[in-house]
Amino acid sequence: MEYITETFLPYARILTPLLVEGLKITLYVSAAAFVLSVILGAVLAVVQHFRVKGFAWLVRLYISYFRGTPLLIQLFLFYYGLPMVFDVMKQCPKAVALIVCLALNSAAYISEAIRGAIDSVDQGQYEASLAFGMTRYQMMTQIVLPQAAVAAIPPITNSCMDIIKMSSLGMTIGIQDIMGEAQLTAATYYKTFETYIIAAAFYWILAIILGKIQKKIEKKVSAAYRK
Amino acid sequence: MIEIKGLCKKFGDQQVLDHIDLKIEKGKVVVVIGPSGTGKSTLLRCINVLEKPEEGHIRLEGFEADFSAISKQDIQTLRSRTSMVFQNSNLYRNKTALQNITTPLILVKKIKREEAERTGVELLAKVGMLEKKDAYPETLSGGEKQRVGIARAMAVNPDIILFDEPTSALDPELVNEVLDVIRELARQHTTMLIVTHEMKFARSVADEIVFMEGGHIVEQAPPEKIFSNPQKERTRQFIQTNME
Repeated sequence: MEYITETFLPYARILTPLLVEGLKITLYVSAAAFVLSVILGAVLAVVQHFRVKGFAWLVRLYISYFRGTPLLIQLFLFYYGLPMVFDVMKQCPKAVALIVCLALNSAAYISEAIRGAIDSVDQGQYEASLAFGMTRYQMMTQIVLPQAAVAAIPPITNSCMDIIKMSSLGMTIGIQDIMGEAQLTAATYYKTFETYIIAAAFYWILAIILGKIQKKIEKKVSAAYRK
Repeated sequence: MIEIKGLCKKFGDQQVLDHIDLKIEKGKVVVVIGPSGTGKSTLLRCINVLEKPEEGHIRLEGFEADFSAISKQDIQTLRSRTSMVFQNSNLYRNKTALQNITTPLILVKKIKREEAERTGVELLAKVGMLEKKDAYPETLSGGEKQRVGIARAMAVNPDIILFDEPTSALDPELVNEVLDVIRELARQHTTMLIVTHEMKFARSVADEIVFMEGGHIVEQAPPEKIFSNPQKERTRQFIQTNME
């Protein structure tokens, strides 16, 4: 009991504002990476679905690489490796490097999720769209993708959670997100256990909030399919 | 008026349609009958290029195309001037009954939303589905879906409506509500090409019956003639087994 009031709580009062600063970075990086990865993932999924000539194999290679290697290596290669080869990459800010790597990595997973969801849409829906003279673009944006969304939302939410958690790897290139702040503070105060348990709580709460948002969105998009 | 000449379609090595010639006058109802797997549905699907024929010509009022060298633009024109009622309705699952009708009008025909909705409401009333205008397809019965599907097909004001076995997927007690709607369309001289297994309905609604088998048109004649006095032995057999 004394430990809680004398040690833990006073330290939490010092740590929490720092982690809140880190939280802003985590949210900003994750949100940017998530938006980019959904857009890229959708494009990759459509390319795969229609087996666009000359691109489909490239997409398969892309997905294979980004799912087959650790994000940490992808990040190091991008942030430390590429500047050795291309001079312009020396100007690349840390946050941008992290956002790009997270987005590229997640897009590989999200595109597979979206592709599966697109495949689950009944062939008749395509025919009914084409038969009435819709263009392919209209068919995809008005009919197919909205229906695919129902099946794609759970795996996409998972990817979003993964992005938030994986963004903690940004610490390794010196980003002051939740993890970065936690690591620095823990080292300063020699309070490893207290620091990381509070940092874990930050991530955990984010995941819980995200889960609630997922439920809301699912309810909304599946409204049309309830008997 | 719609005229097809020398239409050929293969699936792999199998010749599904073999030089089909067919002419449908404006305001007439042509019903295609025949055993399963003889290319009846494929014929319809070729007309709006859901299947691409290898050979053949098609002519509408002021429009002509050669299927062996058909352009994207021509496919688009054919699709926007014909419409289809599918066996499984294929209503857009993410759209309400009314939106199912207005979506092609707004996206393809470039009609303003308010006007499209007025048309939609009018047609839903015609097929007796007005009170379900905001319902999603998932909540409708098979017969109700087909009626909305018919309204959707009417809305685009096509040269011809193609019916691909519109009652085959329905429970028997739902068949008549759909056939009644089609009968009403026939009374109003809507040009229609209907593939069906409902012989009595075919007889009562058709101006012309086409009996197809093995990718050929075996016989084509007005219904009284096909049903009472068929010229070909094969037609007689088919009618006999299917009228019992």
